[in-house]
Amino acid sequence: MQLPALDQNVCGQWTQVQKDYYNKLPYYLTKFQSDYLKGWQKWGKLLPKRLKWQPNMGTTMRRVAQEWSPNLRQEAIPQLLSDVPTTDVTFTRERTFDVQVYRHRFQTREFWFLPEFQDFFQHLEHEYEDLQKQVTQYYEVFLRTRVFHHSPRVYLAGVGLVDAPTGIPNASGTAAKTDATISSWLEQNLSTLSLQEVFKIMSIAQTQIGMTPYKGTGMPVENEGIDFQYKMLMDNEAYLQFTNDTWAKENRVLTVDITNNTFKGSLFGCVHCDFERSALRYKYAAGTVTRPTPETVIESADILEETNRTAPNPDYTRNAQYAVAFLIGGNGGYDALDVGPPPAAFTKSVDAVKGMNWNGKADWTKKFLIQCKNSDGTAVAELNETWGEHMRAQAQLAMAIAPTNAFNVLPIIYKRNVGLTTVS
Amino acid sequence: MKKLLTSLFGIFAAFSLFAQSSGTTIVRSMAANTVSNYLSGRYIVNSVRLVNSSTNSSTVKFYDWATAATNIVRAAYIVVDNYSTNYNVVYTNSAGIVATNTFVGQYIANRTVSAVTNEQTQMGAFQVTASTTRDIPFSPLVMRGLTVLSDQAGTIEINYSAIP
Repeated sequence: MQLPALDQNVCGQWTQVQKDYYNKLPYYLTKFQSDYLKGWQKWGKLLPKRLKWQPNMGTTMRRVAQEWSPNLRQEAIPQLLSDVPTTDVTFTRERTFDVQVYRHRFQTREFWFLPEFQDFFQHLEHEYEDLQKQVTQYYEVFLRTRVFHHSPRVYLAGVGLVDAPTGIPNASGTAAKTDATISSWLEQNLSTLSLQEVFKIMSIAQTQIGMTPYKGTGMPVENEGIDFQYKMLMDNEAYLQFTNDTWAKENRVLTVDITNNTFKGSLFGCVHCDFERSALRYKYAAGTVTRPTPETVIESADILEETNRTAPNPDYTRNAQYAVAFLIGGNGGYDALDVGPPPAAFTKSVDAVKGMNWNGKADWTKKFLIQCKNSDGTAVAELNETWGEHMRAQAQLAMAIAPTNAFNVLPIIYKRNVGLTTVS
Repeated sequence: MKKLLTSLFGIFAAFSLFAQSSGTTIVRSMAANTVSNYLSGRYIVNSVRLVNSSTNSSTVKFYDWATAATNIVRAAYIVVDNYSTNYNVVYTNSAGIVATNTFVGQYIANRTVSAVTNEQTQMGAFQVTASTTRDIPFSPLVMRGLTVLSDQAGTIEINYSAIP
């Protein structure tokens, strides 16, 4: 039958509508909230910015502290009154450490106006927030990196306390605690972080290292010992593993339920555990130590449910065999620096160019060159300001940390384990 | 009495089988003085049974390593030495008087250990008498793998579980 048609005899005719005859939207886009593991700060809060650094203070801050003279006596045997008395000559020393300021930059990609005009999602706000999170995370990792590399001793679980090289690390792993030195530690027979090890560490920290207490008076209490409490900043995985701890299982009070509950509480009443978002973990293979990234982005052509998801990195979660916990004493051992603003003249806006900042706050900018091609097809740079079509967020962070009492932090390297077992 | 012993043996055998059923068991023959890698990756070794099929007693060494090698190439690394020391400082003051101060203390210094190829750290070494079977008291948590070196021919039975 020809369509359209008038005055037709439809009996015996079949005029079904074609299924794709009319227009429709190919997708019905709906927003959903991507669920993710929350982030938090520990090192930043542990090491508040107690020191201030202002412009015109030079390149280096030299911190000076007075030490007390040592206790040299186990016995005291003076001369008789009638004899010439002997004399103790005491003197004190000063300890110094130089601190310098570092900075790092962060930026998003350059955004063009058109996708923002056309796309379903608006991305700029999300990108800005994401950049801020990365700045915070960077500072957290900066503090931990420097604390680890300045620590004069490291405890290897199952092996014992070792004196460790210190200094300012570099990106190639050849300074301070070098990759080769860390490898030499990992090649030993390390154990897991057991309660038996923690008990040893508590004693070693107090007597061999002389760590001052994180909490407590440090004074003796009759029939209780010295009031010493430390903090341990660690991986939640290791804490969960205390539920499987041989010593805990053998000695727990029978009312402590480890079948309907996990191990909870401070360790021996002396070590308060706190948890990092992404603890420091090492992967060791064939003589080489690497630090896998905690998270990754999943690329998958087949598993669409996971494609583009930010997810835990298997190299970090499964393949990294070793991790580091930090036993922390008085005042966290370190002072972070409040670097203050850049020189006043540079913080002001001049000729509509935004003033300089390095406090980690992200700002949008259009002041950059964009790539384009001229009539010959040659790539040239053009001022973005000409049309103002592109923008990006950027931030700069100045930071410094002073190892005031570096001995008050003891990194503990241990084997990672997961799961319950009846085998110790 | 014999019946009782037989039943007891049966019970122990049953327990032994039960204990091993929690993991995976592999049985491999070992050639004398040949390094073999049996596991690669992170595992809990639940039990190890060694059979020495030679007429000499054997020594079996275990390494936490992912390949069939007992040696390791170590890059140069830094250790820290720590020892008691004293040193003199001779000082002439503004009046021309010389003072000698002897300072006593502990000296700490970095020392570079040269690159070298060495035997890896052993996780354990066990002896098995000639022509016998021994269940060794050894249940390590291996981080890289399990590599074994025996100086006599025999068999090894390993029960292990993966770490999730």
